[in-house]
Amino acid sequence: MSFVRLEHVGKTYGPINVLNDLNLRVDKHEVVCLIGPSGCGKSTMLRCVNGLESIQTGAVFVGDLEVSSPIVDMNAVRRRVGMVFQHFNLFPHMTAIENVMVAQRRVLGRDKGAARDIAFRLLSRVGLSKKVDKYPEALSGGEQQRVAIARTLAMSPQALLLDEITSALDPELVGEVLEIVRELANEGMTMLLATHEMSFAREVATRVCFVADGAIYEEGPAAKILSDPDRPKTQAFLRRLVESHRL
Amino acid sequence: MDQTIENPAQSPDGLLVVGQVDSDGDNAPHGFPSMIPPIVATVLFPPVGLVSLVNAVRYRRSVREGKPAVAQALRARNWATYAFGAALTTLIVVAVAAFLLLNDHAVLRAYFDLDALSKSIPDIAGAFVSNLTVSITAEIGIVIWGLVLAVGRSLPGRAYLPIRLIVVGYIDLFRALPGLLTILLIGFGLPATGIGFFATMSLYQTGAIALIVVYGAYVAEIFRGAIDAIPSGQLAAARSLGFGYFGAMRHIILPQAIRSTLPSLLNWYISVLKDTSLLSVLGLVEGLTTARIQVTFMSNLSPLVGVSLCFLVVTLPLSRLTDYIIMRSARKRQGKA
Repeated sequence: MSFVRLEHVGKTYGPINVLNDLNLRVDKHEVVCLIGPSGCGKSTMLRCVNGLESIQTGAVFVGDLEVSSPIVDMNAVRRRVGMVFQHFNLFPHMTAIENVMVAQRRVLGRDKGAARDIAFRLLSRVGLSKKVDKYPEALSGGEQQRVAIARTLAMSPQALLLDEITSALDPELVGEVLEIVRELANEGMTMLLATHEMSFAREVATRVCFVADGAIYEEGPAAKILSDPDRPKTQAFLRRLVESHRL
Repeated sequence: MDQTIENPAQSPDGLLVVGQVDSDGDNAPHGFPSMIPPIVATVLFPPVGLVSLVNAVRYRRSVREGKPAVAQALRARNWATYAFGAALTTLIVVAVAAFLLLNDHAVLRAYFDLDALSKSIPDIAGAFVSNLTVSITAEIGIVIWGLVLAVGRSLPGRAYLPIRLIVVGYIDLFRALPGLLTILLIGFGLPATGIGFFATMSLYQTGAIALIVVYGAYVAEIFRGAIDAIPSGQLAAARSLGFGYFGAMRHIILPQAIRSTLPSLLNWYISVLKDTSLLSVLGLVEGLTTARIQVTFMSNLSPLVGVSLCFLVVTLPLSRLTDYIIMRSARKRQGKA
C-alpha cells in the first residue's frame, strides 16, 4: 500500500485546469522528484497532499487518511506529512530555536524543556547549533531553509513535501541545503519533491516524474527520464535545459 | 543648464561646484564662487555671516595667487547657509517673544500667570488622574475589542460571511459618526436603558465603554491592515505544521501583526487620552473641566495651560517611546541586540 496516493485528481482555478486526472503513488522510503516547466502544477500537487489546496475531483490519500474527504482530521494529515517551502516562511518574530519549538509546544503539547531539547538536537543536525538564538533576518537564505527543515522534522513527520526548496537560494548556498535532503534520503525518509536541480534529482530520486499540463506525463527511474526519455515533451524539456546549461 | 556647461565651476545657484577636474588635470575650479551668498549672509546675520565672508575673500585671494584653497571655498558656502538658518530662527523667536510681550505683557499674563498656575495645578493634576484612569482602562478594552473585530473581519469562508458583514457595518458606522455624538448616545443611553447592570454604572465605566466603542472601530482597521500585510506563506507554514486556523492566528499571525501595530497603538492611545476630555459632557470631573472652572474663578487662562502641561507630560514621552520601540525591534531582528 502506497503511503501517498493521488487518484484521478482534478483541480481548477476558474476556467484554468491546474491538475488534470493526475495519478501518483509514493511508497514508504521512496524519494520521488517532480520535474517540469514552471506552472505545470508541481507546487499545487504538493499543496494538495497536505490539504493546503482543495481539489474538485478525484481523491488524495496519506496512509489510511483521505485528505480530500470533507470530514478528515486535517491536522492529523499535516502531522504525518511535513512541508518545506520555496521561500522558507520562517516566523520572523521568533528566533531559530523558537521557530522549531512553537509547533511542538502548541500543536503536539510538548513541554518547553522537551521541545527545546528536540529543537536543539535538530538544529545541531542541520549545522546551526551556534545560531539557535538568531532571528531569521540575521540568517542567510541557506541557513533559513535549514531552520525550516528542522522545524518540519520536529513534528516527526512520516513523509516530507519539499517545494522547490533551493529555488530562492543563491547558487553557493544550494549545496548546504541539498546535503541535508541527501542525508534524509539515505535514512529512508519518504519524500516528494518538486525541484529544478536535475543533477540532485538524478542522485537521490528513486523515481522521477515529469509533470506537464497538470498530469504525470512520463515517469521512471532517474537515469532513464533524465537521460533517455521516451516521450516528446520530456525530450523537449531536457533539450531546453541542456541549451541553458542547467543539466 | 547652459550656464553649467559654459562654466563648470558654478552650479546654477551660483555656488561653487567642487571636484571638477579641468583639462590640465588639476583640481582647481574655474572662476570664482559667487560672492553674493556670503555678502547677503553678512547683512542678515553678521556674527555668522562674517565667517563666510572672510573665507570667501581668502579663497578669492588664493585663486589669484594660483593656489586655490578649496577648503576655504567650502567653508564660505557652509557658513553662509548657517547664517541663513540662524537668521530665520532668530526671526521666529523674536516674533513669538514680541507676541507674548505685546500690549504691556498682556498675552504673557493671560497664559502664563505663574501665581494662577501654581494655585490651580494641584486641583487640575488631581482631576487629570481621572483622564489617565479612564484612558488606560479604555485602551485595554480598545485593543481587545479591536482584535476581536479584526479577526471577525478576517474570518475565511462563506460560513462567516454574515459575521464579516456585521463587523464591516459596525466599523463603518462608528468611524462615520463624530466621537462626541457616540459618547453622548452611549453615556446617557446606557444608564437610561434601566437595565440594572448598565444603570448602576459609574461615569468612568460608561465613559470608558463609549471610548471603546468608538476607538475599537479605528483600531480594528489597524489590526486588519497588519493581518493582511502578513505574507500568506506564514499561514501556509503554520497550517502545514498542524496549527488550526485560530491556533495559527493566535500563535503566528497576531503576534506579528500586533508587534507591527505597537507604534500606531501608542499613537491611538494618545488620541484616546486627549478625547477623555470629551467625557466632560457626561459630567465626568476630569482635568479640562476642572481647569475651565478655575478659569472662570481667576479670569485668567493659565489653568488651561496647566492642564495642557498635564497632557504633555504624558503624551510627549509616549511619542519618544514609540520611536524607541521601533528602533529597538528593528535592531533586535537584525541580530545586533
